[in-house]
Amino acid sequence: MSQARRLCFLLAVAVLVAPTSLLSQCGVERWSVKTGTDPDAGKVNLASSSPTTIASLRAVPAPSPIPSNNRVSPTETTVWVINATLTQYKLENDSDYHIVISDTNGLTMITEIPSPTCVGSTSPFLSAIQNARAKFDAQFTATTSFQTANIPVQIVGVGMFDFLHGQTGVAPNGIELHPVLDIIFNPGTQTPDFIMSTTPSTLSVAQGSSGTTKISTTVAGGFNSAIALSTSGLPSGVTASLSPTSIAAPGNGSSTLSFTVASTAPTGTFNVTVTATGGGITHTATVALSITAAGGTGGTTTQLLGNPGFENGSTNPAPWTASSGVINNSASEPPHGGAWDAWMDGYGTTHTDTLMQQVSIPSNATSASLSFWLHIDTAETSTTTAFDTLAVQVRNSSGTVLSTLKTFSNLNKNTGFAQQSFDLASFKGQTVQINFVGTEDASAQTSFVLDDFALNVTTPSTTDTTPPTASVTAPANGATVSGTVTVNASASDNVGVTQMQLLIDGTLVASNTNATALSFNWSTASVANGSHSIVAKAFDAAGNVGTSSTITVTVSNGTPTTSELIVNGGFENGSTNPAPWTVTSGVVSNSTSEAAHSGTWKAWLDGYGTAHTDTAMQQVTIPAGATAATLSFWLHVDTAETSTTTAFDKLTLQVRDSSGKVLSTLATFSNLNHATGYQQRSFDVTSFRGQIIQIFFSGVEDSTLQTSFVLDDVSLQVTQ
Amino acid sequence: MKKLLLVVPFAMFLMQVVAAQQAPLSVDRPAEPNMLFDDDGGKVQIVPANLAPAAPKTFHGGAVMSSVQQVSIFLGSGWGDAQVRGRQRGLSDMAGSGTADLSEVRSRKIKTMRAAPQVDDFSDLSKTTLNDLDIQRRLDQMLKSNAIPVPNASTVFVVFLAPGTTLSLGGTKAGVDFAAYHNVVHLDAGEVRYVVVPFHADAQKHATAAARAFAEAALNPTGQGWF
Repeated sequence: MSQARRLCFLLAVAVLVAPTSLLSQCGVERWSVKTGTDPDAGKVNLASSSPTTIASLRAVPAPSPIPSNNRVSPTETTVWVINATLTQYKLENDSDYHIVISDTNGLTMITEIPSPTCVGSTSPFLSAIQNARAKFDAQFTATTSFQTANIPVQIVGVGMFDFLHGQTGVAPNGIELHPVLDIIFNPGTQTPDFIMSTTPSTLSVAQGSSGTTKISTTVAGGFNSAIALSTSGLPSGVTASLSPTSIAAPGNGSSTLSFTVASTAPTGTFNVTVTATGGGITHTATVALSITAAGGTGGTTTQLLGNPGFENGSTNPAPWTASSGVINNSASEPPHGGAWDAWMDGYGTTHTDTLMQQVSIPSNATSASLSFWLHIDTAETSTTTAFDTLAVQVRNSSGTVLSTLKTFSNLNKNTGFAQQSFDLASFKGQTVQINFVGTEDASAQTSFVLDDFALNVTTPSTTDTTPPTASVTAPANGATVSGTVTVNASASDNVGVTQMQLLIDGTLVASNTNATALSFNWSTASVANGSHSIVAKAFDAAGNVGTSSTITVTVSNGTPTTSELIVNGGFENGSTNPAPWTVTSGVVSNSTSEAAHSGTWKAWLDGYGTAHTDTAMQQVTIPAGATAATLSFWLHVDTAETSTTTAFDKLTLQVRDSSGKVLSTLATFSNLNHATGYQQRSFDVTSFRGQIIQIFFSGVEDSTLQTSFVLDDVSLQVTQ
Repeated sequence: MKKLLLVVPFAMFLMQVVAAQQAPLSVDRPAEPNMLFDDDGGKVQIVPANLAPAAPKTFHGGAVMSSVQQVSIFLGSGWGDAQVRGRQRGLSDMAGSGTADLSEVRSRKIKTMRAAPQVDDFSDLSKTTLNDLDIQRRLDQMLKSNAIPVPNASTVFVVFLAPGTTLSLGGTKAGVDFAAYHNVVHLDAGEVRYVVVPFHADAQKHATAAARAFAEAALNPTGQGWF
């Protein structure tokens, strides 16, 4: 055993360092036919097998075309038995064992055993494939290179035509046994055996109804005995009957298993074990019986445990927490299903292994059933003393033991796996830890091997008619607000909130999805002073809508203040002190030749009748909080130009940044704008709030005929 | 005894790791030159990584295409890079653009058709090692989602892998054991012939490998033609 376990460990670690392409994958071409998940899989008669030879199968004409997802009858719907010599084998990258068999004339054909991990759970071949794979593993170690052998075998398998593409050992017509359902090495010396399958292996029956499945047995290796069938693991309120209860010798046949489900039977999925015994051999198979509520309106059953078969491997046991060495794929303790199991203890020294997974059982659960498969083997010989034990516990999330469901020991040793079931309905509404403690004493090992867990919980499946609740949590109802106010809303729902909305005065202002809180910064200056309403709404997936109470607030923003940013807007400080204006020489003037708009002084740009440029500039800062900013001035233009079409002399008004870069040209005036008096010009400069800007006037005159641009009473009023 | 498992094997494991680093994994190869086993046990014809010329071809009595039309699939996020994408023009229509040497195809009276529109699939595959089964599975998915046209008797899908995409074939490695290959798979859509061209830093070698595998797909679509 220790050697096998060592190999197991090495293989497991080697997988960690292997390139990803070496990790197992499943095939593509005709994969459903190769593994029994095709729609014709039920046509395969598992109740009988037909002896044949390699030569006979090679003589069957290949179909044309070969259907990609269906079977060609009868070759592909028959279980064939061939006695031949196994000559080559290899692990393909699609996880198949590629096995070449040869007859005495050297005729070859391919037989393949898929990896059980690549076989869908609905395949009627699954348990047989698992069996064949395990038997092959016990004889050989297949690698990614062909290895040769020379060993008599009896192979039981389903016919399958593959596409010819140069496969090693392929028959000329592409016929294979794929999948192999059983392989017997040295058949003349082997104990006769049989295989059992269930079709379907999963069955759904409503309360108060009944359903059936077929149990088939196929013999191999010269088996010749009647096979007795029985069931165990039935949930309460369910009865099972087998017809017939025994398959007559030599053991090929089938039986109908009928379930009658009482209206009081609990809903959920239950694994019923079918046991077949004959010729001193016992095999078991599982039928997953799903009981649904009468009328189809009953509960929804959910399996809560993650990684229930430990198929994530030893490197990623989560959500299980396991002590070192527990997660196992050693052939020494093969799994119940898949490739991995949890092997607790088995050291033969004082040792404790643990295995735990935490789950939350819904408070509305109508049933909660924990099941798992357990195999116990031991070197203890006592039939009375429990030296090594496995405790099945339910703990709370802090690790306190709430209940010990059962304690197994070396006294419970068995030859295969047996399913164990426990009712956890009493723990509904709690987060619990399913905990296993395997304790071994100082000598004689006991191995507790667990696999294929399920924690099936049934909850009522009712239409969600409960609307979410929504509330506005800020501001408070009746509050007086001003400026920018944060509006907060929250929501909740029995299932889940899918959307939230905030409405102010009936207008949607904010929304989100799949959240239970919503916040919005409301600038109250955008609305009139007075009463305003705030409402939150919440939606769920069923379309239910919850509306909050209406929150009424009073917006009370003070009267806006307006301030003047331009200093010395009328230029009344005179020519000697124009600041904060920056002007070219002669601009600030009190000449009577050009009257001021008001006061005595003004800015007189140009008017020379020669090529000339005058400028006037003042820098201001427009507050970030400004709600309005308006530049205005009075302008008088007189000119000696006579053209009514050509702008010879121009006054440009620009907004520049503090370094003089032009941000915007607000207007250009010219000799064409001449008028007898002043005219007020206004420009909205609110967009420059938060910036330092220069108000820049530039008058450019050409070489002849003067134009005077006379500015006065410049203003930049800001409201905030 | 299980305890031994935890102690002794670690040293053995280290020894195995060292040994594995020293000696490459053994990979079976068919006896025929320029052939490798694929991932489900069949043989595929490859273009060797060194692009060494193939021996003169002989006819093996099987199928040869009568006409061939390229449908390019540029696969992998690396094709989203503008500089890399610049190569697509020279690759996407090897027959129509005249950039590829398809003289042997034409000499066998195989009609070379202008390529069908290319398909871009810029999935991020940089953290994945693809193998031939992945390629088959992706082709199946693309056919089922109508991302690529249903193949007719002339169609050869040419899958150009983006830089940074790692590819293996039956345990062998792209760039080491082969520069390109062609294969066939039977899906719900029928017989799907395809060429897989890993990215090559050298644009000329990249194009040469693609053209050669494309030509060999036409000459030897199912393994018993000219090779």
